[in-house]
Amino acid sequence: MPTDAPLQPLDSLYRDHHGWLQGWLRLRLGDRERAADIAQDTFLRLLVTRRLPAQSDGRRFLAQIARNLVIDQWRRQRIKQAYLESLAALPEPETPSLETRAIVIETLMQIDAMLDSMPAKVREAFLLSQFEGLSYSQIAERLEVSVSSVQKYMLRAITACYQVLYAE
Amino acid sequence: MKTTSEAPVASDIIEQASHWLMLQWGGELDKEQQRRFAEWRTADPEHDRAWQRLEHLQNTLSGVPTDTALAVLRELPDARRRQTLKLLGALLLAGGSSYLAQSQLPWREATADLRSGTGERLQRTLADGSRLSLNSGSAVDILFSASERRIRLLAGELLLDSGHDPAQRPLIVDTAAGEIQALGTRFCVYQRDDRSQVDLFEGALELRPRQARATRLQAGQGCWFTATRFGDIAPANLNAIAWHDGRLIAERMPLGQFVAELARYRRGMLRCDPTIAGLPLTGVFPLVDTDRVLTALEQSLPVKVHRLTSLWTTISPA
Repeated sequence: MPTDAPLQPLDSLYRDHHGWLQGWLRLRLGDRERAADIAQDTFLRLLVTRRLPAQSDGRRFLAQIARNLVIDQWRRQRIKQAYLESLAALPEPETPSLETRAIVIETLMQIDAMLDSMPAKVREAFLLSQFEGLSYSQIAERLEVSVSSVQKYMLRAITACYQVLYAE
Repeated sequence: MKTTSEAPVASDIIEQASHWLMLQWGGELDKEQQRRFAEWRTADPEHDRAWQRLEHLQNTLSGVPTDTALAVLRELPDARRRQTLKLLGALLLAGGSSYLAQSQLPWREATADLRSGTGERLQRTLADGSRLSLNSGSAVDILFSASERRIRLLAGELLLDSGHDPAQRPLIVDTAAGEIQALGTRFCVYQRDDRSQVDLFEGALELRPRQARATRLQAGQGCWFTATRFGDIAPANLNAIAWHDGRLIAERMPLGQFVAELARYRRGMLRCDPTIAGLPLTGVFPLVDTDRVLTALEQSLPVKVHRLTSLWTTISPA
């Protein structure tokens, strides 16, 4: 395959650091299999994004990706659990299909990331507007701020959402 | 379907678009606003592209039923959620900055007296006549003194045929879990994480965990131990030393386990789909050429081997 040449640095990165990364994760997660999985996912991420570190920066770079993966996994786990709990409250015939669930969990991950990048007041205004259907003047009353402040919050919220979806 | 170009949109245009979205979220636009919005949107293809992105954003937000979103996203108080995340991040970061200390083990392996690379097996006759074999990816320090013969297993697996020492110095294998003292024997030690697996084929052994009482092993027995405890004593696994002859023996071995074994002799990742991990496999496989073993797998089991890159191989149902 013609893709072999640009992958060469990945090969040496793997040779030099895969064992170390796995040990590093194992130490932190206390779980050998999870450590192996995340180490694998870390290299998979590199393979997919084709982003490679400077020669001297390999371990720091790998650790950063692995760390993000662990946090992502942890968030996904929490969200999935909360979602399944909310489904348990539904009557049987309304339970969504597995595929729908997967899509919803993915979307919830994105929204959660958006919320996470907003300051507290902005997040509150955003939740009230988008998920509780309150008008800007109702939100202003609830948060005890002016309507123009709510408008500023909402603008910031939109920017935060945009960053999550389109950030480079 | 419209295709939206991947190129970034200028930030001032995004700001304008965001402003329109903010107004729309606040309530119906009046006639005048509607006219101005339509004007803005058609004034420049870039405006339209920015707006399409914000429409995608709106679709994302409405992709979840609101009651579900509220139930899930409000499930934890926000402050707590963020704090826990930060804490976790800090923990992992702390590890990142101290990795020099963590790299001690690989460094020790790198400076070991004797080491074998992946897929490599080594045999040495030591000064006392003992024959030492190292399996793939193993490392030992050999520390013989006037009072003892000590072999420190830093990583991997060794097989030792102990020789007769005229000075009768004790022969000790030292692992992360503890010490194994040989009493005239042939045995195998495999170090994996904090656990030492010991299989004894001749003679007797004394196993001395770092923080637990010692126990004895007789010929034909095997068990694992850590610094603090022992596993059950079981019959020694003769297959465990097949590597010494360059073979891997499977007797109704689940494919998943076989693949994990085989992976020790290959560079890169070798993974097996969980749905076929239980397939039983029987055979004697040469370790010199693991690619041939993989090809043989395809012939004897309903599986397909995918070589994604030179370092990346997966096995899935055929």
